[in-house]
Amino acid sequence: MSMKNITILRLDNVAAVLSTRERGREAADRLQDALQAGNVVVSFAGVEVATPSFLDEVLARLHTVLQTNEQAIAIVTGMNEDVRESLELVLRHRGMALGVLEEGHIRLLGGKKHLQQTMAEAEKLGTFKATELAEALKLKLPNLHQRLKVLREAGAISRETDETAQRGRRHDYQVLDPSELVGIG
Amino acid sequence: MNHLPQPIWSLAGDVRGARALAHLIDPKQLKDGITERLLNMSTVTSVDAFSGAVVRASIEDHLASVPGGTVSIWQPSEEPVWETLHDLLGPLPEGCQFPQDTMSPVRDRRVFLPAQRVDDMETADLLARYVHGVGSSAGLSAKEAGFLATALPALVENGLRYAMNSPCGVVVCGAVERESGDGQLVAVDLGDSISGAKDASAALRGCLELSRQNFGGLEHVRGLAVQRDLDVSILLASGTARGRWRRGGSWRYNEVAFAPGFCAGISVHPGKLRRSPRSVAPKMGK
Repeated sequence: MSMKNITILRLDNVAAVLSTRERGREAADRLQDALQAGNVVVSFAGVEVATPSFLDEVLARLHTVLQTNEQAIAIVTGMNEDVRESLELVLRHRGMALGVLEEGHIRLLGGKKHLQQTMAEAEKLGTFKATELAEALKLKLPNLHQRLKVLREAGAISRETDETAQRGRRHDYQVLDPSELVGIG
Repeated sequence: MNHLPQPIWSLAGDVRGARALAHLIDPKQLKDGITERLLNMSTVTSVDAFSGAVVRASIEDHLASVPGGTVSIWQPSEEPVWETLHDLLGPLPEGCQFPQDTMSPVRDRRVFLPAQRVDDMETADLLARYVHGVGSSAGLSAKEAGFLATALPALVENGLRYAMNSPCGVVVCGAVERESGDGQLVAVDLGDSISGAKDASAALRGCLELSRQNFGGLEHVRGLAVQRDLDVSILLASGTARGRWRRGGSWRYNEVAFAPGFCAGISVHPGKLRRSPRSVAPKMGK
């Protein structure tokens, strides 16, 4: 499984204050275009304020795109405390989680504690099969698949069909390598 | 303020909070050829961000609706009140002035956003950035300043969307109230989408329900207050309808005397993280 292109989408190019649904839709268009080319890191560095209206439009689109594009990863980084609070409000409203790059790790913003533990273990493995992660977490596969679905729809991990699988349908999962993202944010 | 067409508007006593709304001038009031208005505030004893927004909205309405109109303001005789009012009203718009022999008072650093008219979201965003930056100088914690900065574009966007016929645009004002220490952010417009409704109370409830369903601006403000663990109150006023919310409770409604337009006022009640405003410095003379 090869690492795809990573696009850095800097939102401070939009403005230091991100507001209104209209501008959120414009940013969502850019995000959608970038996701067609590969993985995306959305950087909020330099953004001072982001309103829930703006973020709601971006997250709504991200959720739609990720439901149909299993091979893309979209994580966010560089948030100040105010932007993070707004993002958490919208995530809770939408019942979503989101992959976040902070302090050199990919973490999960929103979502329940067990999902965050799953994310931490997935990050350690980097590229993995479901059976490997299930073993690491001492979980049964059906339970793990539920968690992987949420993480994938959060944009935190991607999956591709394993063409070499002899029996049944298998997937390879991948988390972005944080060491390749040093300096972003 | 008297609502009969006359050249003198008088405000007296305590004009803070919801009391300020009684002085909001109805844009439908006949101007009767009066071009020069006098705003007598000499006996005002207490002002806050609500007072600033209401007075500025009335000034803007007069200047916008009367060609060549002017407004003169007699300042409060009590020095601390005058200090606060001077900064609440900020740089006055063209056509509005204090008497020429007026000395500029010492600056009141509690005012973090002088009352001003906002006609577009670009300006709202700039002001949000300003509040984010200077809120701590007024004594707000970083969390409180961030909350109010995030709320500001939402309040302005609502005003611009639903009060397109407002002659004063949307007027915003922000300050830390002198006695309570509440961090206040107030947005006032003179549109009549709710105040002009047959049943203003039902219209106000409908507006809040719409915001809840559509995850709109007012719902964001409420949600962010809870999210940030801040003790926040929201006052909505339009026509005879009033809606009040405080963290931990639900919306409460009542009917009182008519106030034109729409007012949304947010108050962040002081928490543990507060510190005093930075030391005040005398302002340069005009």
